[in-house]
Amino acid sequence: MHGRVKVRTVAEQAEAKKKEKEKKLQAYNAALEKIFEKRNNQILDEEGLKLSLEVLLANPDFYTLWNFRKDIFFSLKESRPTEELQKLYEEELHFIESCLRVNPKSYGTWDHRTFVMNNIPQADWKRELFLCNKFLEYDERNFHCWDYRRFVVKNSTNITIQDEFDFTTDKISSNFSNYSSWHYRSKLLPLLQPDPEQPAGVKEEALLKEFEIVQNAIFTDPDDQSAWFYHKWLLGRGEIKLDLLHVVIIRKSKRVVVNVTKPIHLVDTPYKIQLEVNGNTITDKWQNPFDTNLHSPVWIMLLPDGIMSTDDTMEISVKLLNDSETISSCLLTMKSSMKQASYHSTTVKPAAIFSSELTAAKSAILEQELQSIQELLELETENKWAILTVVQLMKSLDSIRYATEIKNNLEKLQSIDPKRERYYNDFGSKIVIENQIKTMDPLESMLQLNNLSLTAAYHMEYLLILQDLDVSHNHITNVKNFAYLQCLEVLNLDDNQLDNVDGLEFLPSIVSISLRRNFLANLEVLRPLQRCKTLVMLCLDGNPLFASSGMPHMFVCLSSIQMSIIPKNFP
Amino acid sequence: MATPMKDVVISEKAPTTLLLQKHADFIAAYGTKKDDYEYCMTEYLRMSGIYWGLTALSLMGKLDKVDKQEVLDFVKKCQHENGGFAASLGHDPHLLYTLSAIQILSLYDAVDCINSDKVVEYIKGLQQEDGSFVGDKWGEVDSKFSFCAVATLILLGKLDAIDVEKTAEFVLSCMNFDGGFGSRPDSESHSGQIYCCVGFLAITGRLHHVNVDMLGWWLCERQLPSGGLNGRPEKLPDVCYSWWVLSSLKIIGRLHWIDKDKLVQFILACQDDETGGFADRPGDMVDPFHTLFGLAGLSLLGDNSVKLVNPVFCMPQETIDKLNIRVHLLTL
Ligand SMILES: [Zn+2]
Repeated sequence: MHGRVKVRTVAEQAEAKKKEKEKKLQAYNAALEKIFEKRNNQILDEEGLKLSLEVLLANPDFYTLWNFRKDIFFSLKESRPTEELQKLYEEELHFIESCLRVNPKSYGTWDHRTFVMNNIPQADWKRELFLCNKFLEYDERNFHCWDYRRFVVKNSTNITIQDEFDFTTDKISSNFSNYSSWHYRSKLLPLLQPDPEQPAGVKEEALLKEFEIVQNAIFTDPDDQSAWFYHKWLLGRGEIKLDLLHVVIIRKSKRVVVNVTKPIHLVDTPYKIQLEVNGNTITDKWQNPFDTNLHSPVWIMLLPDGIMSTDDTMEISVKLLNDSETISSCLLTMKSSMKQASYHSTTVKPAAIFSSELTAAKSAILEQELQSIQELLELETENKWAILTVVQLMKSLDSIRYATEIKNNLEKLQSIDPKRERYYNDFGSKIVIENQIKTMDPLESMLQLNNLSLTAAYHMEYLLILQDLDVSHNHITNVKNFAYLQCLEVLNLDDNQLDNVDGLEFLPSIVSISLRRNFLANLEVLRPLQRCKTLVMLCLDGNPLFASSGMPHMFVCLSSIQMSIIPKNFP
Repeated sequence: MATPMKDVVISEKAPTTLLLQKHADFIAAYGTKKDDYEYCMTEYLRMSGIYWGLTALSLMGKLDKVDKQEVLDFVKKCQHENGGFAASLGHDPHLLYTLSAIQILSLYDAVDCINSDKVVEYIKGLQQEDGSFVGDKWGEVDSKFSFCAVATLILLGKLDAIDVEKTAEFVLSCMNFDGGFGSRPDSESHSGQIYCCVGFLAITGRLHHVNVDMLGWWLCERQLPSGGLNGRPEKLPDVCYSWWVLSSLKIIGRLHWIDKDKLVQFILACQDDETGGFADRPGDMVDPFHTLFGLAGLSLLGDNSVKLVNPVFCMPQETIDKLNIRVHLLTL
């Protein structure tokens, strides 16, 4: 099905070809008929092996016939002496090799070889490794062969991890552009030089050596993506420790909202959030903002009736538990005069979470990498891989100090690699939002993200205590994750590219939403907002819905409407 | 030492519009040439072939072009006494063809016509201690079989028949340094496998495990200057890989990270304007497999002349809705 070029033939040739195929098919079908007859009668003998040879050679994906051969081998095992079996299995290995030469990418053929090697009385693993070498020479990217190689290594007693690591070194030095070898290295290196404290789980000396090899590759062929992906991996990715980040009690919507550092689930998992109000444990069900059965970094408890109506001061305790062990806890006091009370962790900072995307243990390594990639950029000024790597390094080192350079580099990437323009846009948006979060007072209830060329609203889960958010004059296309903003009352989304408002229906405290000059095309897309019981102001002017849906004239003139009017006008 | 970029050049004469009628004719005629050499040589995957053809027709709103009863009779006859389905009559049961069979029955809303409890038993029997699935009793392990298992079970409304958490643990152990997934732990990532694993995580509600921006970047880097997408670095573009990358991007909410117009152009250029059908690349021989993935790709890219496709099941969204299956996708 792959790579068969359509060839035009003159009628005569076509006729001859057709005849030839018919003949081939006749022989094929005749062989099949005999095979199936034998199989139906459970005659499992050597003749069956012979009969299926030609068919499998022509069609190695015919899995039922490989099964037939396996059945025959099992049956012969009962009746034949070991030496004879050994000989039959060796012949089978030869046969499989001929099949692989015709089609080196057939799952069934490779799998049958593992069957033979698992059952042959005396396995010669060295020969198998040799076969792998041969096939990888012929096609160094054949993942079937790489997988078979790993099977061989696992079973052989005298092939070490170091041997395999050296093999990948050889492969890479003969051709840097060998993604399969880099991949294999990423699996071998943490076994060979383990250090769970270091990025990629690899000892620092080994890591430095790897950087050297990658440098060599990217200076030799800077357009080869294999080495760049491996480079990104070497820089590491930090594990985020589970912890409490924010807790908010909101009087109006009668809820406690808990934000943890990574998505968790609270049903059938070891994690628990324990909530006590004035010493009484609340055992109702936690739900996530979307009310789905999915993992979430934000969990909500709707307080039972009566608890919030008291005028007394409330003492609230929240504990995050793993099994019965407390990971983190906090205590909040909400006086009767307060609209909301909140806690934010002083030990876990969003900044640490953001930089965990790349974390070399020592920023010295990052500095050094940044320097050498910048040297490469002096020679290869338009190399997108180098520019992007520079952005990633700068983001990890100090995204605020490098903010302007990051922005310029991302703009350059958009012009030299326009196919992935939106990827670079979103990446830029992410960094901008991270910088805003890093520099804001964690208890601040207002944030302005307007006019920042944002294309994506990253990290809304870290902003859940905001009451007033301005995201106007950007290029936002969806607001699904705004559902995390459980305290939000005023939201300005003017001048974005929204064609729906899905997500906003989960905002329990929202009072005012401004959606001027977006792409909202009909009233139907606003239907989710009917769930927002607290909404009193909704600005919609400048959306195509006013032009097309035949709304009453007075409606068009209004710059803001009472939400209560809308349902009556719904179709 | 540098490897030149592998790609294709799209000729000026390549089709630029969608030839729907021709594709419907191509698929409808495919099943009628039963003595054809190519047809006979692909019998070992017949059940999947029928799923590809019927889904393609279904996306074009032409499912009635095929004799439904004939299809249902064939599917029924392929169910083995152990509950699994074979690719064709007389062939052995396998998880791959079991999924295809259930997909076909779902298209026709006819799952009731087979013994689905037996199917569930068959699937349960293929799960291993470590949570992985083997494709059949002979023991080949592959993360795509984990996808086949949960996709079949959820289509039957029986996802709770297996230990989903343990199943997920195995799939996650196939995750790699690039954020992608391989067929087994330590196997290299490629986009067909990524589609299966990301689809698995979508069905089982575990997409939060995906390193979304890393994987999304790797996936959008599959797009070549021709507009087509390849399955792994340094490989040629292909319509089927275009679908696997595209559907994976859709599932993780990053579809906009590629150039849609260029990809549409590539997919359209893979049509054969004489015979109908899509090929893997412009100028190659067409087949039902690439025809389905060409149409499904265009659907995800917003072509309204094709019905909306569900990116996880590669079936019409209306079929999935009718079965009341809700799979949450990520958004950005
Ligand atoms: Zn293909």
